[in-house]
Amino acid sequence: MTAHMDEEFHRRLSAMVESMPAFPESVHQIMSMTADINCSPKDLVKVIESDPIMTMKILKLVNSAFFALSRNVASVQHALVYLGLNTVKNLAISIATVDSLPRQSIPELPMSAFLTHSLATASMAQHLAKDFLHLQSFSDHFVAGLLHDFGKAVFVQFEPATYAMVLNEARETQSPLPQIEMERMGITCAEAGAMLAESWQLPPALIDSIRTHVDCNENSSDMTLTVAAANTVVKAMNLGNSGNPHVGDFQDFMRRRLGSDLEGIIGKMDALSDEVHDMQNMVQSAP
Amino acid sequence: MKLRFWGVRGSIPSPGPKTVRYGGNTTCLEIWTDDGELIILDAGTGIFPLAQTLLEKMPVHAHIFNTHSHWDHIQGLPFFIPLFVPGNKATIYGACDPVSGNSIEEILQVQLQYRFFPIRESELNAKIEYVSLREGESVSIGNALVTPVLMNHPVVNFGYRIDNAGKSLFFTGDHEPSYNIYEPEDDEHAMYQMLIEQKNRSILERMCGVDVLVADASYTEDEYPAKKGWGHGTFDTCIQMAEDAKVRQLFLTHHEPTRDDEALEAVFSKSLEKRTIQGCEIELAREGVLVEW
Repeated sequence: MTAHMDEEFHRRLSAMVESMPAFPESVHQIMSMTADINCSPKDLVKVIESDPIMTMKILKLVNSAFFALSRNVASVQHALVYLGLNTVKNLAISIATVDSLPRQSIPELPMSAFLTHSLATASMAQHLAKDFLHLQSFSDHFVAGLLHDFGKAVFVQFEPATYAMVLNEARETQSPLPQIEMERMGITCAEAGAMLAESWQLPPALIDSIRTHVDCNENSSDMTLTVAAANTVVKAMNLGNSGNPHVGDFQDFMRRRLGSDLEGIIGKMDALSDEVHDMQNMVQSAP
Repeated sequence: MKLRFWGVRGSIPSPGPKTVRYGGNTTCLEIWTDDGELIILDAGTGIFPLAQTLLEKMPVHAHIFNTHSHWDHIQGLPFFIPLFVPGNKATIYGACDPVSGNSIEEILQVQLQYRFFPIRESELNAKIEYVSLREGESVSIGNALVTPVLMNHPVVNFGYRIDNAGKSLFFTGDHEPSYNIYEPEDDEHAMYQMLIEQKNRSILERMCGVDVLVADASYTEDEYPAKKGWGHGTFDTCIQMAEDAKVRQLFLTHHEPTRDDEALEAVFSKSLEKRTIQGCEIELAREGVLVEW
């Protein structure tokens, strides 16, 4: 892409995200939950962070220049501590009620399957951070997992026909999706997601994991590692659909850094499928 | 530096014989810096009696800092007489609203709508400017530096630290110390606690060592459980905060509108009895009182 095209593409993408609709059930949940003055903050966080669009919009706002926060806000809980419950509640209401475009859907990547993949990756990345890497800030990893494929949701909404073609070609040729995205669109969904996250001043670690989870290596950050490994694990568990037919390998360095192989992790994740199902019910009515 | 309290009541004006000693006006603090700049913190109904005293000093340039946009902190603004008089200048500072995206200008515009007030904004004769502030970014007023600090309230609330010629003051606006939304047995409890401690530390750092702290002490410890989440502190949390930040003098403000003078003094004495360390002077903020240091 030329610099000019890049700028123009970026501007259109960014404007597009403004009117991207949140998931219908999370909108419904937010509206009914907040009609009660005593709505539980824990439940509010749960609904927001089960919807990648709503989460992204809240992080975008909280990290935006007009707050000039000294610290980057990387999770919904962090947003709550910084801005307070009522402001986050009203932000969620305004996102839920904003005039948004009709939601695009393509059979090649149904949004319900995409959501399952995102939630499962989020939950798995959090488990890996908490139980395998023993990190205290595991909520940040949940968000990184939730948003790692945000670029795909933008592509489906923004260029449904082209992206459907890309997904088909990747499936038919059994090629890695990023390769076909580059060939046909000139940009990968990882790069598009990272570019947006960057322009919204999201935390650098989160931007890095969105951009590099597809090329995770020995020297990647913990966040990139948990997201890349979670991505591989949930694909191996057949949870949802990321549109990428190529299940990345669970590589040696992942095993070494996490202290477990793929089977070992799957063995400890019996409850993941139910957990994801519960979260999904919070944001999207079962089809 | 000179500080005078013009409004110390929370939520709603509470005039009458039972609040006559501490006063019934809502939040307004007048500050004169050592180099003669006028800073006004909040424009509750207390700004109206303050305005009367400025008439003889006109033309004035008032730097009005708004902690947040709730009624009791803006209601006096349309009655700030210098706004109507040519030659005066007012600069109004405050936060943007993250939900609507609207700037600080809205606090006056909203009140000056035809249905609610007889004078339109364009009919105000003073020169009025607005400055939207961002957390941690100081503004200079003469030799003074005013720094906004994000506190915790049901709307974005900036506390302000003012530094001037080696003297300092911090006003919290309305503030409730953040609390953990998770139960100790929840996985997220420790992580959330860490975030709260980070935030509290950053507030304390900004407040650290000020000569005068004016803090929102709306409730007693006994009242607090029923008011949790309403965005206000207690006598005890304010005293603790003052001790932790090693301030020299603490004024407790935002007095409950239903608490009369006698009751206010009674709950204040009770909270003082519980003090274990005697680090700073503590007083109830009282309308009309002048503090000079």
